[in-house]
Amino acid sequence: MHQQDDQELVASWLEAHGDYLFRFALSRLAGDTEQARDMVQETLLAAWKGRKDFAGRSAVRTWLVGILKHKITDHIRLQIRSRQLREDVEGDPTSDWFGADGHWLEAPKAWRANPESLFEDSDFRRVLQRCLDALPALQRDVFTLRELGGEDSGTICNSCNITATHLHVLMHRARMALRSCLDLNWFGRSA
Amino acid sequence: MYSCRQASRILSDALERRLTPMEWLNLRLHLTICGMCRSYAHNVRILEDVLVRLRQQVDGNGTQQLSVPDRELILRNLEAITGHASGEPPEA
Repeated sequence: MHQQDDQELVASWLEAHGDYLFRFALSRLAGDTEQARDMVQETLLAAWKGRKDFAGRSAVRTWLVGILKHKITDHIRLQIRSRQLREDVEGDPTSDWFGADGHWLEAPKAWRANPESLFEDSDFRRVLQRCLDALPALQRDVFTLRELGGEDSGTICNSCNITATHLHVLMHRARMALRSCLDLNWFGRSA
Repeated sequence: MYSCRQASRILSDALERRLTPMEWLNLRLHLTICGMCRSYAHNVRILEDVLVRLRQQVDGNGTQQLSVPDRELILRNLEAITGHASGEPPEA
């Protein structure tokens, strides 16, 4: 009898909040659908295990999102550890874009585009996603968490175990690389 | 006086932290005289704007959904665990 109720409880969470949690995870995991699905599953499982402590202090969705956020940062931190992702802060890959004198090797051209129409263009969003996917793993994870996840620097530094300076370097490199990738694969097309 | 390389870094930092008055001044000065960095700054602004819109879409009314097979997979996996953990042994 009890078992039946418990199973129905989890199923009802999945029904009511599954898609929302999935989208939330997807945006913070650089569009990795399989990983996002697993995160939803882990979140519901953790929620079920902690169901007695919940006691309706907040909305169910808020509670579930809180659990999911922890799962995502844990996942990213683990990934960073297991792959031993350490980008050397000294060796600067942005050298690709600058000469020894610190001048641009190739002058950036101002994009003639309006952000609103770019955002609504599904072709552009696909190119942007490909450019994000092409970033080195740590840059991609940190940039996605910060820009699409909207996490603040302090949270990211803590959860990924990096210094603020390291975070700023990674964000800078990611912006340089994305600008270059979009130039090549989108804006350069009309030039 | 900043080089383009330094200016591009400070430009990015401005999105991450509060610049010191000196950094802010140096960046302003560099952008005044450097059209290339102005173009870069312009492009970074567009990129940021698109990313903010993407973030808001996801948190608001995005359209991606769990696929039916994914949904069933999650349900099956959860049932296996929640059913098992609540006392009754699973049917052999």
